[in-house]
Amino acid sequence: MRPNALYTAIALACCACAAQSTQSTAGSSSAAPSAAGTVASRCTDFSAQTCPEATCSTLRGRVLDAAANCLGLDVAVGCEEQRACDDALTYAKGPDGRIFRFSNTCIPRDFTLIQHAAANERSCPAP
Amino acid sequence: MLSAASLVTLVTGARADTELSTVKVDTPRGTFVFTKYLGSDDKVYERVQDERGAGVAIAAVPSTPVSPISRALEVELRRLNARDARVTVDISLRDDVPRGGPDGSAAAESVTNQSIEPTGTINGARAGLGEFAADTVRISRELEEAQATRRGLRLEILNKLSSVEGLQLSGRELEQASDAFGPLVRTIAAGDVERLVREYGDLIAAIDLHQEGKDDTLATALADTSVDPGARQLSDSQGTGIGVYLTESGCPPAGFITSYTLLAGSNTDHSRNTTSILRAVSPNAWLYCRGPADLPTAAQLLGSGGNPRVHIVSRSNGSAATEYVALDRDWDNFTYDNAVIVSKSAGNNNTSGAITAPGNGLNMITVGNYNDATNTIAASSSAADPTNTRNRKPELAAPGENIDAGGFTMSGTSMAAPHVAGMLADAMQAYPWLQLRPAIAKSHMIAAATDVISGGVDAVGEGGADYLSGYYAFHDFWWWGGNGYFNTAADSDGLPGNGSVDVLFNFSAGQPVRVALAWPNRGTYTFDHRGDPHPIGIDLDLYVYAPNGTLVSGSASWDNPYEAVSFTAPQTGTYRVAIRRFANRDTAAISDMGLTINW
Repeated sequence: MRPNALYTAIALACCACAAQSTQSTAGSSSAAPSAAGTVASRCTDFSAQTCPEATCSTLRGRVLDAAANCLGLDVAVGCEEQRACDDALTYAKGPDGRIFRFSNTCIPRDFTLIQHAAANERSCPAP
Repeated sequence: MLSAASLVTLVTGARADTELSTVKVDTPRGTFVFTKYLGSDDKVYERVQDERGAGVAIAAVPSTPVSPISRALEVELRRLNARDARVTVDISLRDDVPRGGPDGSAAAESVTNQSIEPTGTINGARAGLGEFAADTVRISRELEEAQATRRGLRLEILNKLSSVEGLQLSGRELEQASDAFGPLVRTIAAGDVERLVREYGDLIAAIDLHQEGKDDTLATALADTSVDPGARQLSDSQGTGIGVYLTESGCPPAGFITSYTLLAGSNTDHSRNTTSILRAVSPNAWLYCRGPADLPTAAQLLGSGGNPRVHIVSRSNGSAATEYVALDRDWDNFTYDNAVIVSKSAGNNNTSGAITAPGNGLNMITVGNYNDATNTIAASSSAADPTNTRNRKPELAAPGENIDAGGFTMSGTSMAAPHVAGMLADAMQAYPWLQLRPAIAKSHMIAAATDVISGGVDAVGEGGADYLSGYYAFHDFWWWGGNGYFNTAADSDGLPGNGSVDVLFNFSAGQPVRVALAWPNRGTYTFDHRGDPHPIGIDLDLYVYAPNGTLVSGSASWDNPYEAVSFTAPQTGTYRVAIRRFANRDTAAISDMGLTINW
């Protein structure tokens, strides 16, 4: 389906990406009704466990075991307003120091983005 | 992901009553099994059975009731339980403007021979660049006329809706809303939602809970897709004259890359990465970016500042959706009405997880993410088919693991989608007939996705995108006309009376061949019929017969907007590629088919 001449492989230099992420992790700024009624509150005021799914989104991540290069169970770690998020895998460190992998760029406001090379991590074996 | 046995590719000769494909459909009255089979008379039939295996008349299979109000909004309204509570909604308008076309005047197609030079065919007649260019002028004029009509229709609908509390629009807002393709976003009283549906149901297609757009702040990949060496060394494959519109949570600042117009949106790392991927793949395409994620306006679609019209949309953003939703409808309508092709990220919810909307759209090229170091689909790449429409996702895969571009190394289907968008721009410069004809653009990309990526067809789709595979040795066929045109084409193709549109093509024994067929569908039809057993408006099937009449390969899905077959030619001679219209449920839809033969 293509001429052999163009099969010639060229080794391309891989750019080192030393730049640090500057992406904001700002959370919700819009008002959402509280679970109790119509009194306005923010989705981010709810815990991951009490997050009202109708109006807000539970943020879920998987704990990364960097040494074993595998992912732990899916864990609810935050609550924020529903929104469309960018489809890039995102690694962030939680307040407890654990590193999580998220399926998109929406992460809890109290998490810190980290640079991590994705390695097609599989699920960790059950303990 | 491929629903259980929803697609069967035949590799052996046809027998009497050969089963072609089977799909299970859940309804309020149980599960029904639909089967397509090839009869001994070489015609395709369907059979419907209930859970006990008993035959059932098709008309007896019930639809699932659907409401214009989305499930998420219904849940929210119940939770609010107060008529005066405020809720922000997306109101999708019934702004369909039918596209038409001639139902006659097909030309007979003779046998097409292999040639290293890419060639094309319009409605059965061989067409060179000149014929395609003249036809493109016609398409542009018709699209502009339809756009003006649609704008008038939206204005009329919006004026009527302006009488509703919370929907009043100022003159400027009216102007902007009529120029848009997406839904009207308004905050209204909860009690007005049902009143809107009751009193204005003929104007409103869907009401959904609004989601705020987020606005916060490569090289091996290019080799793997044969963009480098390949498109980057070919002067006719740089994206020159092609506008690509990116939309996600934000956009890089003006001046960040060359040949770029910032329409709206604040700076994000993610957008720096995705736009840089696109720039690397397609050095001369004109890039537009608008954030947060949204469709271009009518004015933006036509280009700005003398820069090219938007032909391609790249969206690396979405929210997980297990079903075909109103957003899919709006994006399908946009592509159908404006002859634009969309490359959409599949999402990163694992191969058994949901695609992110509007990636379930029938007209989207939804792109999974593979690791170009191992040629393996990423475990994180989404691949679950929508549960209510069952169309197969993703269509194909592109590199997306650890892509270093724009100063950031990122992974995910976000990085895969701009690869495909850039390859489309390069191909549209090289082969201008791919412009304004998304059916061929899609069939071309699927036919060229010949890189073998491990992970299974459910997760990968038809294969890994490859630029050079679609640059040499292919033939694009295009048919276009009104809904009835399919029959005209079938009757005037040199093999009348068999009900299929046929192409005769010479292959040599042992030659690997990929054939792909794609056709656009109206989102309005699929959304309105999403509770039906088969919500796709037009169901086409694809078959390839050897010179001795044996069926070599076939693709006869129930709910897909494309078909693809791969085979090795068993003998030298003239093959028959047959397109059958299995169902013509949406008679308001045009006959628009793209077929690409790649060898």
